[in-house]
Amino acid sequence: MSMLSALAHVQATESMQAVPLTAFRHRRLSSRPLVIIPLVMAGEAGAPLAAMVGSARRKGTLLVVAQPRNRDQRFAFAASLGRTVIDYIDSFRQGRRGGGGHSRYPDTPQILVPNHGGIKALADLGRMCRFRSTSGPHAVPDVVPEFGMWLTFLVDRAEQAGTSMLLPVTGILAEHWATGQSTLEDQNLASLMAWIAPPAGLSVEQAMADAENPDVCPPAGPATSPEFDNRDLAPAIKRFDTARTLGDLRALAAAESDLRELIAGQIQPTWRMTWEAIALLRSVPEAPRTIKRFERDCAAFTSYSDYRDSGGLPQRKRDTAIGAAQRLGWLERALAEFESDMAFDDPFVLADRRSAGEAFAGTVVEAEPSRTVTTASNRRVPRPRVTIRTQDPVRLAADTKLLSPSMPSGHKAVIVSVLPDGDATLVTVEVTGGMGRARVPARGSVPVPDQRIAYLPDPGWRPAPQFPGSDRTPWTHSATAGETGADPAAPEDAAAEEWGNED
Amino acid sequence: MKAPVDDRLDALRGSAKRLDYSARSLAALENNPRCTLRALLDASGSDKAAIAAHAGHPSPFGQSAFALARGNVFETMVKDNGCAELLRLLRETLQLTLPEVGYEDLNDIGGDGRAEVRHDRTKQVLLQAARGNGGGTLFDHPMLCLPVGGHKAFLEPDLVAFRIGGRFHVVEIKSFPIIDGQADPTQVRAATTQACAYIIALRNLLARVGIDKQAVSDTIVLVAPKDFTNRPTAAFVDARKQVAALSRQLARIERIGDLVDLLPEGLTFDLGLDKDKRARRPAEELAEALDQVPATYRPDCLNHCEMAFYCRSRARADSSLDVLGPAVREQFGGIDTTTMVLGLAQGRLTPTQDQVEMAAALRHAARLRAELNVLGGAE
Amino acid sequence: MSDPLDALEKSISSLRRAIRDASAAGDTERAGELRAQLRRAERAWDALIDADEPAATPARLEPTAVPAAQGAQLPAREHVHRALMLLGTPAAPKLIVGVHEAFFPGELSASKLSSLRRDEERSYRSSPGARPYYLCMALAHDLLTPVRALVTISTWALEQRIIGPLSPRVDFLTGAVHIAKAVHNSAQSTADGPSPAALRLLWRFAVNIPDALPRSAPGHEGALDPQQVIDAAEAELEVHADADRAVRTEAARRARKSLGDDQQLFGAPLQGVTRLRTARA
Ligand code: SF4
Repeated sequence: MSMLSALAHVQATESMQAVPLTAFRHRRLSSRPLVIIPLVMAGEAGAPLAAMVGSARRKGTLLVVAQPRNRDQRFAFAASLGRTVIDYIDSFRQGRRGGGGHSRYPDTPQILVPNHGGIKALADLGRMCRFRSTSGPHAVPDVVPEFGMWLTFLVDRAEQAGTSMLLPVTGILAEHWATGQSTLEDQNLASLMAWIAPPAGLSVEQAMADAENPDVCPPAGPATSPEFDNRDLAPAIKRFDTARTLGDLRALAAAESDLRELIAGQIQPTWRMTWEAIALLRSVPEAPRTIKRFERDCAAFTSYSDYRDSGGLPQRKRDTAIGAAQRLGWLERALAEFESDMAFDDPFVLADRRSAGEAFAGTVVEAEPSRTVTTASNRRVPRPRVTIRTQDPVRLAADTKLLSPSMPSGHKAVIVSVLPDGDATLVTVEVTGGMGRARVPARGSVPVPDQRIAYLPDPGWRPAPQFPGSDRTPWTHSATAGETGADPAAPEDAAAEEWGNED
Repeated sequence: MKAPVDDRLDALRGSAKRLDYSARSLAALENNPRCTLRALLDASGSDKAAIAAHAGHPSPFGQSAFALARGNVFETMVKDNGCAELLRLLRETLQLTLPEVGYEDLNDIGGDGRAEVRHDRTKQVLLQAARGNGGGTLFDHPMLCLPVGGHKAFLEPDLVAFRIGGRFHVVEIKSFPIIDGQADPTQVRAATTQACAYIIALRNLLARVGIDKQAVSDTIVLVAPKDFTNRPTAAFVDARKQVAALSRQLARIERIGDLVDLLPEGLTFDLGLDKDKRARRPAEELAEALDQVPATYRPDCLNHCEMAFYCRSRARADSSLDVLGPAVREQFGGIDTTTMVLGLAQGRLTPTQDQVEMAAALRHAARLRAELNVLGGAE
Repeated sequence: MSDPLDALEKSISSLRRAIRDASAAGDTERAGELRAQLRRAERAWDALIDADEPAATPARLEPTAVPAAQGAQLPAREHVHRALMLLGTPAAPKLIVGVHEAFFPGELSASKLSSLRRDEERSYRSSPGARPYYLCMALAHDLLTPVRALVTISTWALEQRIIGPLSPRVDFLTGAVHIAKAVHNSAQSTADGPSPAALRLLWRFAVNIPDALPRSAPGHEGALDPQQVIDAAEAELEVHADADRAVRTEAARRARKSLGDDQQLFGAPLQGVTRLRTARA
């Protein structure tokens, strides 16, 4: 965090309302996102309890697992949620553009969950489903492993900064607004919304208090509130179990509809609030460079989609050492690039980095526009130098490569020196690119005295990674046919089944 | 410990029954070691949850019956049939030898479940084992006892296994999963910290008869469900650092007298319970008493301490930067309140000698924000 | 706040307040959601008042009369007896139910079993010896007190019913041998072979015995070889048997000397550690 963002949080505390951290929205919002609110059962690993899913606020479908410990019900749930998600994904696998090996789908699916916990729940579900066998003694419907592999792809991809195929709504909101509370509390959707857009007629204070009161604001999941578990859910599941043991069909139907109603009551407020948050985010203009990252999403989506069509294997359980290192490299580069893009597009983010000394802006006080140097290949090239006077606490060193949002695109420069000048700083830079091919720099490609200009570090050019994440890794990097996810000495199925029936 | 300190602590607690330290509350020491309020509430055996509730800020914690049930079912399953699953794991991962299967059930002693009785028996069998004249390998729910601040805290590990590499090992059985070899680090950390209290207590027990602390390994054995199955798997967790940290915290408790000395005369957190156990003390009076003791709130308290909502509201009322969390706080090193931050940023306050630099940075940041406000932003 | 009625009343009042706020602001959707929550809380409150008991934990609904399936004509104690005879070792209710489901028809639940045990003791005390056998307790080798949760049969030798430090493992291995034999027999004698439940039970034993599973086979119950399980279990039994027998024999001798007939079946009275000290001295 920078001093500036920290100050924004302080200002939010003082004014009791959220303070914007950006001028733009740096995440693409699909015109047709699929919202999923997953709920899981407390204390169980990957035991889904329910999910509300749909691509429009008025069209949410509620799926409920009446007995989350039961293996068959669990996979029936995975199959129906899977069908919805796969149908949604399939609707983007059309209208491919471009030719040959470079053709791409023009759009990607976008799944939105309320918070990070929601992503974790989908990751668990993906892990649980992707190795399941569609034949043999514990066969699951075809859609289950397919769903698992897609979920894993999306979760992997979501780890990469700047992507937008799977996002937590709280994460996007917190990227764009500062609240007067901590990061921990910002993970609670209702608390966050209390600061940014409190329910009509409520003060922020009251909305914050309500947000932490599970009676008024049921938690956004994936865990339900313990009070709800003990008071409502446990007895309702018990009634369902009893009805099933007794084979009493009427009681069973009643218990099931009671459970649905109960869970609907818990999930509905989060559903509504998630869509409210999406509407709010839509009102923020999208940053120009978002489209560039979106195109990479399209490429990754197309490539994974083709991999699936070719019957590709499920992702490995764990990366190999080399794979993990590579992946870390990708993630770091993506992050650097995302941060740079945001600063380039957005004066708020730029200011943020300026306050941290990672970028600077000021007025040109001196310019040597006609300076040239002779390269090693004995060519004379223009290398103009300009000196900028800035009030910013510059922490960049000589030789840092720079970009500038205030110059025509392609402009490149490198720091020559950074010298203090009273309470200001003088930064001398050498312009190295964006001046055209001629011996004399093109008009407007070199800053002139009295011009206001901003510079930030160039994260470095590199080819866009073709297949980031484990979405399309070499065979050596993927699960082998023999490794089907079951411990050879311990049939996972047998254990899971037994687990399902015990109570 | 001096008697007067004990008297003062009893007075702090007032009429309520003393709550002893548990592995949980000892582990929580790790989370906010510098908090005086918490140290005093714990040392005096006060009921933090009841106090927070009566002061108008009931604690944020509840346990889901599902989580409890799952924990119990899993532990039972691991120990079923003569600890069959556990033996397999210990043999596979820790090279326990074939003859080492002796099992001692210390959940109750001839039907007597009292802590003292179980502790006596635990002491007896563990010492026998340590001296090499007892067949025990698996000690199921031994009852350990650790003096903390002059009071006995009874601690009950899930299981202690002996003679893996000639040493005692604390075995923690947890129901959070280890998926593809990885478990949630927060949960592992919590489990480890808790196990540290057992390690220290076990060492303490052996030390009393002159057995070196090396007899107890500072590596714990974590037994947890493998992936999404109900089958257990085991992993070693190195607890050395946390054992050292917790030992330091325990030593601090011994010096609780230093904290007590600073308290105003007559201070008490008594709830004024009537015969129906209803708190009768006026809530404002209780809050006033609490306010006299310094607390170092931080958002992480919300995960660990029953007093968290109370302390947060107090920190908010004080405009403390603590409310915003460490990431924000560390940007303003040396400044404590939002009022001070804004005062310096807007040039309304004159910085002290060592605030000069910070104030300049703040004014710069404030100027930047002012420029931006003209632009608008995501609104 | 531990009183659930208090907690509910608090919920109700905060919900009412939130409904007022939402309605005043014209937010009908939110108000509707909150009203549904309020109705539920009020119903829970009514239910608590009616029940007139502090239901801090959710009310337990035991499936009361489970309809008898075919083959369930035998009384429950017969089921238990049969399962224990197959196992040949003291066993916990859960295992007894497991063996029953694997090899015998009819319904038997663990909760049924715990009430059975009380009945047996009562019946014995009112007229000792009136039944050919009683379901009774296993005894701790040192205190001769009843061991938590283990069920045995009165016709067994006292040695078989004593639990020493090694006995849980010895009994587990012995049980494995007997289950493997039963699986083997049903493979020989019945048309469909052993039930899936029986194979699963055997598998659960086998995975926890060194070398009891075929090396190369994929993780599948069907691949189990009962004879291999028997051999493996007996190999490990060899390691523990003598030491275990010595403890059991000695304890049994002590029990015959110091305990009355009823105590030999249902255990010495629980006296805690004082007795233990003398017993060990
Ligand atoms: S919540 Fe309060 S009492 Fe508890 S540790 Fe934090 S500051 Fe201390």
